[in-house]
Amino acid sequence: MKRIIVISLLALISYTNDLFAQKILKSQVPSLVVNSFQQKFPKAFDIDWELKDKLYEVDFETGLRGTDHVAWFDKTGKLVKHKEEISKSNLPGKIMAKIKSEFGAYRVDDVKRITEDSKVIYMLELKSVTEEWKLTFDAEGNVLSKVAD
Amino acid sequence: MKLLNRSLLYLSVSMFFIIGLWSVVFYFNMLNKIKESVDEGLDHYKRQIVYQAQKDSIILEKSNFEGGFFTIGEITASEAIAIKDIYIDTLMYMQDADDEIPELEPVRLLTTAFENNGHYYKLSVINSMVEEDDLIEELLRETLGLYFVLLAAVIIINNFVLQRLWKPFYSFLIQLKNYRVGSSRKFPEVKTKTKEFTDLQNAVNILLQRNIETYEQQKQFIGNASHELQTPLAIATNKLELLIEKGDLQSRQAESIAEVMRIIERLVRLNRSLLLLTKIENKQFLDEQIVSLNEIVRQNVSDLEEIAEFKNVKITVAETAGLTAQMDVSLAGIVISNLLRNAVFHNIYNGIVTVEISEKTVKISNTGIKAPINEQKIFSRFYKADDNTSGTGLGLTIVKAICDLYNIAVRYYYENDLHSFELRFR
Repeated sequence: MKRIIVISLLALISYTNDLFAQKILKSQVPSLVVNSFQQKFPKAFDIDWELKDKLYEVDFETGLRGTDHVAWFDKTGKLVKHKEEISKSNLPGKIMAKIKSEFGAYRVDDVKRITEDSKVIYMLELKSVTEEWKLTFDAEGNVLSKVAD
Repeated sequence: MKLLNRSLLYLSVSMFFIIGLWSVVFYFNMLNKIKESVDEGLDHYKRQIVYQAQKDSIILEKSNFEGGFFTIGEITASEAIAIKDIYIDTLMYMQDADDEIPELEPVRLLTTAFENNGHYYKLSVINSMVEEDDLIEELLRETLGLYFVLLAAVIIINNFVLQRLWKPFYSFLIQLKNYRVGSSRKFPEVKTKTKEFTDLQNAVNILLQRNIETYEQQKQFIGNASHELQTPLAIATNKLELLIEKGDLQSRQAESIAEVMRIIERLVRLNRSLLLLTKIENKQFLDEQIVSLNEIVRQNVSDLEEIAEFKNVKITVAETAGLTAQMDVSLAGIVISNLLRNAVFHNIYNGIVTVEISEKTVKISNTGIKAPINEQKIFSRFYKADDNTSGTGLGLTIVKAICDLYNIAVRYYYENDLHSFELRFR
């Protein structure tokens, strides 16, 4: 019985892997991508490469506290998208003001900055005792989307 | 092969294989580690070069390894995309500190590609590698060193430990070797609390105890039997003598009776010898005094003169010193007379017997059959080398018993067609 569970679990894991992404070794990543990544994030550690929709997705951490990053490169080594965990205090003032005025009763959590083609958006979670919202802002403080979580 | 050396042999052989196997594994692990660290170094160089290239495009012109450790060449975008970072082992002409001219040295080569201002470049970085044969040589030396150090340690430990452990055993063995049934008073004992050794001692002692009992029984039986035989033999002789004296026999019958009497006479001698042997082994001769062997030899030679003349055997005595011993005088006589009789009776016609007396030894040599006699069996009871049936087969056994009693070394050897018996007094 136990065996069957383990086998089916393993099968499931490999299936989901195939479906969404493929973990790859650094030696399988094109040199252009590796070098571009190394130049842009020289202090990265705990690096994991994945190949997703022809983009190379790299999960890594920086800094003493291990800030999480995800970056996407195309095959020529161009940085397409970069998602970075930031602290609440690093949010632009306009967004902070907006949150204070409209969502004062909520607690801010899980703040991420996403850079895509020189456009920057912020993603964060707002939590109260009963509710949980996922919001995206642009740098000017406009709410782009609001989804119940 | 001693136990000590045997265990040492097993240990050293198995250690040789263990260390041999270990060094092979160690070599490959080491090589891997070296490669890993060299590769890491190459990765760092690469980053530096790509970084420098952004600031200073002059290094993009570097197209060969002259005076450097990298080359850069422009390539097309499609070529660049196909390149993945690879590390390979290769050889390159280099000049080491220990080389007079440049020679092929092993290097690790990293090939990579990078983009700079819209142009694509191929970059090769090298780093010198450890020379594998140097590594193997060094490792071999170190491994052999380790092996010999371990071996030396094992020898020392083995010597010390095993010698200590087995000491009681060896002392027990020596005691056991010196043990003689019937003459040793004390059983061999082992001075240890090691269970195996005390078990051995008990087993051996039980065995010895049984041996002694059997030996005593046997001795007693021979003693009793020969004692009990004396009287019937004497009566038989008497009756036969009376029968002859009555005189109304025919000559053929008388001859038969004389024959029977001769046989009985032999039986009596045999019986006497057995009794004597029993007495010697029971140590019933305690009349010890200083006896002169020279005198005894002379006495016995003159006693044997007639028989020797009859057999045409020439007896010569050579005395280089006076030899005396502390022993029973009758036993000393028996030893010499038995040996001399032996020499005369087992001689050939026109043979010789020589007696040499020196400070410590008496040597009696004689001519005889031209072949050595089995020296292990010669002293055992009823052993006869030839089928001359007149002897009892006990003469030399008695000699041996007396010599053992007085701690005289008696030895037989065959040399230059002479059978020799040598008595060495202490």
